[in-house]
Amino acid sequence: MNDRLLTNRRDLLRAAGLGLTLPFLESVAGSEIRPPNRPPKRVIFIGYGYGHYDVDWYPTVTQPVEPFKLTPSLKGLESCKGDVSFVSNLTPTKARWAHDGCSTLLTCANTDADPSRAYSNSISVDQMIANAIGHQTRIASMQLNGVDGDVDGWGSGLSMSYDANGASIPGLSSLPTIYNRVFGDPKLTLAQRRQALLRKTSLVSLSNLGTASLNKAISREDKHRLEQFTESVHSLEERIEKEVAWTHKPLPQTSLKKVTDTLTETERIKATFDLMTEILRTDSTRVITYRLSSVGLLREMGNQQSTHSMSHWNRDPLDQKCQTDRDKKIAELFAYLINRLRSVKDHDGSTLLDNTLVFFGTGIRVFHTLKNIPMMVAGGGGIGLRRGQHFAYNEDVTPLGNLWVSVLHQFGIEAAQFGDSSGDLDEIFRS
Amino acid sequence: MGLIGFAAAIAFAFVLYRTFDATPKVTAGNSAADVEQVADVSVYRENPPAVELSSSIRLFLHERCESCHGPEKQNGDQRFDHLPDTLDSPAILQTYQDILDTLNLGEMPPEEEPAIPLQELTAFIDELSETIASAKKAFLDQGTDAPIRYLNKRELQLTYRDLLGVRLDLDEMPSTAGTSKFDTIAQDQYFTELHWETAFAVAKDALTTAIRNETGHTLFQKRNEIEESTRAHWQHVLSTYPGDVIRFRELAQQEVRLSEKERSKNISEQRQQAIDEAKRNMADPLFATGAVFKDGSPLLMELLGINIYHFPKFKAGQYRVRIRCGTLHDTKEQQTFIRTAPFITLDNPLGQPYQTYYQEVLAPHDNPETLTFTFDLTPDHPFLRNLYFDTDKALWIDWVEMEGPIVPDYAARQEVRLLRDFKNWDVDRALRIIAAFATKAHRARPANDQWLGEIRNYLLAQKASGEDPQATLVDVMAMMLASPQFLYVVPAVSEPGKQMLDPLSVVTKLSYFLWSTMPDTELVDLASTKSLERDALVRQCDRMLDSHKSRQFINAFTYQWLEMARFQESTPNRHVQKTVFNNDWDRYAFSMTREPMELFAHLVANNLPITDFLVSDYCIIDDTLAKYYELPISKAGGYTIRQLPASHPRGGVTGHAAYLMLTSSGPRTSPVERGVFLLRNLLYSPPPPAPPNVPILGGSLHQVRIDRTRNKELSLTRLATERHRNQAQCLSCHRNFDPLGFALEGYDSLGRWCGEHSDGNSRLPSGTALNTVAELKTHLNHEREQFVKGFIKSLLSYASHRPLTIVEQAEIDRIYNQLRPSGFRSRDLIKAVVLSKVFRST
Repeated sequence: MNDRLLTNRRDLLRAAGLGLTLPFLESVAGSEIRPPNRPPKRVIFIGYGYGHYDVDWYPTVTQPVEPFKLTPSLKGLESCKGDVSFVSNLTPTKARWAHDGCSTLLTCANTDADPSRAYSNSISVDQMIANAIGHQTRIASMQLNGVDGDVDGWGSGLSMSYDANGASIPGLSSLPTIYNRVFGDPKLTLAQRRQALLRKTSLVSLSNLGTASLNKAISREDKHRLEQFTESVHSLEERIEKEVAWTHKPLPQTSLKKVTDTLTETERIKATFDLMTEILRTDSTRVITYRLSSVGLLREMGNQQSTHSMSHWNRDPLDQKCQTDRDKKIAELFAYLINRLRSVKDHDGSTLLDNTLVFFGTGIRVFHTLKNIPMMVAGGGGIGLRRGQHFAYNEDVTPLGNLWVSVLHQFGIEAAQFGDSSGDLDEIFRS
Repeated sequence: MGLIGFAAAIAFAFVLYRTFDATPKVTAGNSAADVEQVADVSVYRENPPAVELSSSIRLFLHERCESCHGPEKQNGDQRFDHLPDTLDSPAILQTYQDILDTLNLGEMPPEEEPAIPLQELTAFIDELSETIASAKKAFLDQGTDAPIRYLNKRELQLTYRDLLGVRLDLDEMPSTAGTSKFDTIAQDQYFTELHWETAFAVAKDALTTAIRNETGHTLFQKRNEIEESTRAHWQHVLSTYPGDVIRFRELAQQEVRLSEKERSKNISEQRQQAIDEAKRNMADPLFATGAVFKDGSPLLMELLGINIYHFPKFKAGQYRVRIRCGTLHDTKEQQTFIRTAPFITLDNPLGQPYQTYYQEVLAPHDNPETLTFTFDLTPDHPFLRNLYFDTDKALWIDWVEMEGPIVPDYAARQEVRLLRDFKNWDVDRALRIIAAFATKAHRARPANDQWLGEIRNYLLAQKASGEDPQATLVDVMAMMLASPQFLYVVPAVSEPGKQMLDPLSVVTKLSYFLWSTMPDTELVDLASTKSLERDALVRQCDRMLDSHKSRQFINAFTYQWLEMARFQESTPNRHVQKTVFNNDWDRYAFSMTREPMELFAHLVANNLPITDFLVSDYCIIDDTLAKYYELPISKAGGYTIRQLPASHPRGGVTGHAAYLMLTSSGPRTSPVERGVFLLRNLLYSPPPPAPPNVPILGGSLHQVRIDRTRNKELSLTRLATERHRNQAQCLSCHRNFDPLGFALEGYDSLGRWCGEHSDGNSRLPSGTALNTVAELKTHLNHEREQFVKGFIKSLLSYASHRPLTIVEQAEIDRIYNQLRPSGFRSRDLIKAVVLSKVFRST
């Protein structure tokens, strides 16, 4: 909606001879009012599948708030202990699917709500943020995936993000593709890029025109199916319009090399985190979701179990080790991302980590338990996040949606409710 | 002037203010209230679903719940005596689901109330679960329309091969967010921007490659007599190395530093060894006309005698490699294999018979044979790096030859050639090419004039801007390959308002069913006759099933039906790979994955009963598996039929190593997984999903070990699983599938047979004993009606791109009855599916 408004204004303003002021408008118009020198806020949501070996992952709950003490599986966070907080006892109260760690993590929906469909979902918190601030960046939001996630307990969906209709938004997993999407082809001139985009718009609309000839032959129900095609084409046209509007700004520069070789799983995840850091540094987008896959890590460490088998460890040392190996590994990788973000400075001297909220969790606590899920949050020092703390809420009854409501508040969205929320957790963000 | 400027500034500021102020206020939510709203949506047809509660459920609720949740008391604000007996609305369904959840969580009955006897509670939970599942299914059935679908990745790859002669990598294309089993189901699909973008990009690549293929390709052809390069190498050794031996020996004597002394001495010795080997080999008759190879992956370029640093740039396309070779075995058991692909090709996306890329060498070296392999070079993979030799002893090779690209014929060849020659602007000519291409790309549906008119306008605009003519034409043709007529399988009806598909839609559907690709000329010609005769359809089925192109359907269907993706996960650890699989795990994994597919191919080729999947007195295996299953080897190469001795445990899916391994958890078997798999995929009565938040089973491994001291026959696994029997919310489902798994405990986690392994106490709730594999097979055989109907249903679902509903049950029963007299023969079954009303209508 905002995009349309911008473009029409653009025409109006161009007609009034005020085109030169366009770049200024881009950065000012939007929901977030902040002093011009302050770097923007960003957010990364990281999810994975299957829970943990609970004894070694979850810190003991003794008080509502206390300093966060690292448990054995979280020792990998030693180097950034002061940047991370652990939030205990949040529950996606509507969750029903025992092996579905990611698909309702950001939506808190009841996927069985519509009995006429086997599966339905609702908008995810990152998309609500993207709808509010996405027009301020070249790319409204990005959805990234690890590989081999089909058996990793992510659950269904092409990414963790769902649009306003509850439809799954496709995610990218190929590192070269993500790189190209953000950093593009620097060899083209401004005129060439504009021309190519306008040509694309024509082709896209031609493609859509083809459906008219089909309408006579097919039944009414099938026409509805074709609407998906027409709608995709429309949103593609809108996106191209936005890109045309952005062509006056040069593509972001980076010294990061495009990754093309095959890597071990750890290397691949680290390369993805490097890319995420660059994407945020260049302000190409401010909202990223990422589904972390575990099966590659298990193979790398010489374990033969499937991730599902791993998650059903019984009190046997061999099975337990497989689970704790993975747990420790992902904690290390989380630390890697935090340290990378900390190593980059924003224009006012604060670090990228200070201005980014990073969430790390899954919708499954252990085995089939979907209550009191693991959730950590890092960064946000410049935003006011209370770090190095262990927040513990009431078991079984505190909706996960309360956390997301507070995140929406952080981005200037006055949400009274989200998903299954009954309140908010603003105290986590009040420094 | 100033006033206008001022007004503009005001307008500007006003507009600024409006957007400045646009703080979004949102309330998003998915609360329980939404469930009520769904009931209003008129997606349900005339007869709303009406699943009734049984009297036993009613009785249980009355006797066990209503004293606290009835007319006298309403604890927790819950009252059950007024609940309707019919589950006909989402709200009622939700209420009963909440009751079930509460019981599963163990929250009811409360601890201070008298406990309910285990058997009674178990039976209630079981029955209520089934009732709710039926009700949910009834709702689903009402909600499904028969949608159209777009081509999945497999089909897209094959369609491009047949339309443009191009092989593609489709990694960038998003997959479907699959909740169904088969990748042909429309419900899973959701077309997004990303799909359009990648479809367009892929189309452009494909067209560019197709043009290049038509641009005077020079055929690469080379045969290399292996002994020429190997003997040349040894000549070099024999002439230069003796000098090195002396030189390095002298250096070792002169040198003062110890490390350098050692190094020179080593080099000298190595050179001497090389000389000795060269002398030996030059005298060996084996090396006179060829060379000997052990396990390894030599570079193809080396085998062809081409400089590995400066080899020619290969054009993308299909290449053929021929190898004249033989084995050097000591014993009959040894095997040797050659393949042209890493084992990733287990999935075999282009549906080629595996002999095109993986073959066993059967001939001895003194009577060699010529093996032929084909492989594809794509723009992303422009050269074949290695051949892979997998031998138990050694392999002898006489010569290696390669030629290509072999560009097979493809449908749009003429149009691509015209496109190749289109160098100057000629809008009319361009439109003629586009119209001809459209008909072929859109599978015999011509483009309408209005659309062509719009395209004309676009071409004129591009011409006016001075754009390159060929590039513009490529763009337009790529756009056509990103349009619904290409991407979607569009069913057209024969008469408006009717359900029956027109002949072209039927042959297209048939082509994507049995070949996973666009219809060929013979099918399209058949469709142009007014109506499609039954006999013609049957003849086409035979023709298509006899072609190797049907392997795509056979492989893909079996792979998805039997959850083989899970098998890819089951890699044993290094120790097991070394001790059990002799470091040849990849080869075993390959053979195991192919086993069920080869079985299905065998059944279809010979029109054998489909129930051979359940129980049979033979196996379709290769020698690798024969050794693994401790059956005699045949030395026939490939998958052949092996008769089993009477009462042998193998025979049918329950004996397949892939099934037995994918249902195991590392070094342990999982009777639970094995039982659930059989219920879900063979008996087609899937258990309800694992309940969320089910309380953790009590009892430590220590306790299980104590149990075991009392009962030494049973495995730890069996005893641990038995603990489910102590709790009603577990027992209610587990009693239906655990016993199926217990009967297979004689197979270890690697699928090896270790002898029967039971305490004689494994039985289903109905009383059926399942203590041995034989008893399990008897049970499965007894349930074969369930299997056959389920199989017909899933095949029909795969072919018709949608889940089937109660409405189609009559059709499934009809096919079942039709096939019963002859014993459910597989090819007849496929034909019956094609001739059915479901297949031939929208």
